[in-house]
Amino acid sequence: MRAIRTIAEREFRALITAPLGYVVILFFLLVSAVFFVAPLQRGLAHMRMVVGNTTIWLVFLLPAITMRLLAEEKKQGSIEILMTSPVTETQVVLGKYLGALGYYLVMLFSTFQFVFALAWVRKSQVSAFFPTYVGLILVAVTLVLLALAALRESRVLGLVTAVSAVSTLICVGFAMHQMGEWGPALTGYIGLLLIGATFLAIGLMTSALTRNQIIAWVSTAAILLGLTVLIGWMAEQLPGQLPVKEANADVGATLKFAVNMVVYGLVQVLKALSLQEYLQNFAMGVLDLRDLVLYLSLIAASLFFAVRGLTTSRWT
Amino acid sequence: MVEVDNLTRRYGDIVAISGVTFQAREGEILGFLGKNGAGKTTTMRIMTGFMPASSGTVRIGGADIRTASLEARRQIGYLPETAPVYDDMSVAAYLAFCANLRHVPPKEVPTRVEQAMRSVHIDERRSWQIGKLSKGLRRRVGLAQALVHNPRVLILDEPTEGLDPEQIIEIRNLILGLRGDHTIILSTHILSEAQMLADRIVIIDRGVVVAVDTTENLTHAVQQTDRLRVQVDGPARDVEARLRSLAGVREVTRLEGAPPRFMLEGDRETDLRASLAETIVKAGWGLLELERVEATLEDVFLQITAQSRTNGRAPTSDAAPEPPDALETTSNPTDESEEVSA
Repeated sequence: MRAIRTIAEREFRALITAPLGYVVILFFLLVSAVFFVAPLQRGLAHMRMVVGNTTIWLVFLLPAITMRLLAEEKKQGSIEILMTSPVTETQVVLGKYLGALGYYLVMLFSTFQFVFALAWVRKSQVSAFFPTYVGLILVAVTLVLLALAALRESRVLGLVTAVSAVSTLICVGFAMHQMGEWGPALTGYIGLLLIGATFLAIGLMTSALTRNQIIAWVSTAAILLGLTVLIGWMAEQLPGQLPVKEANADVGATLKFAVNMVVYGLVQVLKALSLQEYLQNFAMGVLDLRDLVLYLSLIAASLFFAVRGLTTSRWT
Repeated sequence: MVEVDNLTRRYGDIVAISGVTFQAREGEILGFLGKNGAGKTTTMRIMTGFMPASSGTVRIGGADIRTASLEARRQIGYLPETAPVYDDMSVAAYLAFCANLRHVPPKEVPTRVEQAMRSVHIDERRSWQIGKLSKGLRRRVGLAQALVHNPRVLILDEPTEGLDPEQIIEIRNLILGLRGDHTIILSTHILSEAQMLADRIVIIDRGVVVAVDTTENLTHAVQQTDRLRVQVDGPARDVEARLRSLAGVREVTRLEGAPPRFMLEGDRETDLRASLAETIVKAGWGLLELERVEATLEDVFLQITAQSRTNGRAPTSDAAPEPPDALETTSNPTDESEEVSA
């Protein structure tokens, strides 16, 4: 457990202090802001707009974070020092994964300002307005404190950051409550967390299979694009209704029925794998156990293959 | 302390190392000498548990590196050839990271980090980012991470590779300072380095161990004759004829230089120096130089590897992809006279 925590802390700090980490968070904020402002202009003031539309950007942004996790270690040779220490491959993979997940939580945290901004937009409906202002300030303060704590490697600053983050969360709760969007906003964030966690696990898996970061980035983005957009698009193009067998059908009609059944089965599988579809559920406030199972299964399978990839890369 | 038994590693059809066997005793420095591509790094990677062997075993303090891997790895401090440390961390934070990974009790971590930094003289740069350090300082950080958990065994892969002469001296002195407290296995392709640092030497050639012994024993075994270098102020032909007539002289070779210089080879049992000096003085010539020439580690290396190749002990020609001139022979900045010249 100590090894996992040590590796996770190192990875989190490396991501938070690296220029790439800043660029990814800033870009993510920028695109989230666009998706936040655009519906507002049409008079739609809901968190689900932010939640639903940011996924496609995560497809490209999160692989940039995961590509270096193991590929860079292998390229630079620092994996030799790591793997000759008394730690197992599973501990390394879990540590790296939790570090990246921590970074992703900071990404999500930075979007809380939209929650406060939305509460401000709807101020006519808001009775207690104080937490909104405080919350907006707290988000900024927490992010600055976090960067300082990571750069100066200070535990005291880290503790202050944690206190600030918890205070922000309490304010977010107030703001959501005042907007009457408790459910959809919360499940939306749970959805974003799960889909991001899945993307990170898949990214870590490809990073474990190569020593080239560009290959890791491109292949992860390709897999994620397939799981989110392409599968959904293919499922839409194919007929989605259960075929009915005609009475007294001849050989040709029976054959056609069989083909349609296969296509129908395929569409169902594709639909089941389309992550975007599940995210819509979360954005609308629906928390389905099946969605949770799918995400967790994908995470577990990806991490398993990451461990296997790391093991075999040392054998060759 | 370290037992390497019959280690073999294949990459497809290529045999990188074959039947590598040796032991390192508690507290000694064992030099692992071989050309680039001879199989040193492969052996060390297997010894540290980084990669598995195709066959054979490694035991560190009794723990098998395959079956009791964590227990064996806990006793090892390893410095890979390129000292690959994290550039984005500060020296102290990196060492604390390594100490935490290697099961140093949490309360002892700050003390151990401090001790490791002091032992490699890098404590003044504790808050520096590693990426901003020079190559020599990075290597020191690498050495500090290998020491931070106070391991019983230190495995150092070419610890002075790529450093400038001053840095080489520093690192060598550091290693000598660690003698006795740790069992140290260090690989090198620099003969003088092995001679200076190691208590015993393992010579590996094309993936096969061809000799394991102390430098003295190895040179003694190789030197079949007593060799003397002599410079005489007299007529070259007469001097050569007189030298040949001396009892116990087997071979006289004229060397370059004026007045004439000669290399004499005589029986090991006979000390020719007294009779040689007497003969030259009696003839009325001037004896300008008389020196006994000991076999160098280079002689040992060349002779042993040549023997092994003649006997066909090397596994395959593919196992040595590096050019044959990869052996470095003149890289001792501490004392020019200790250099082994080709």
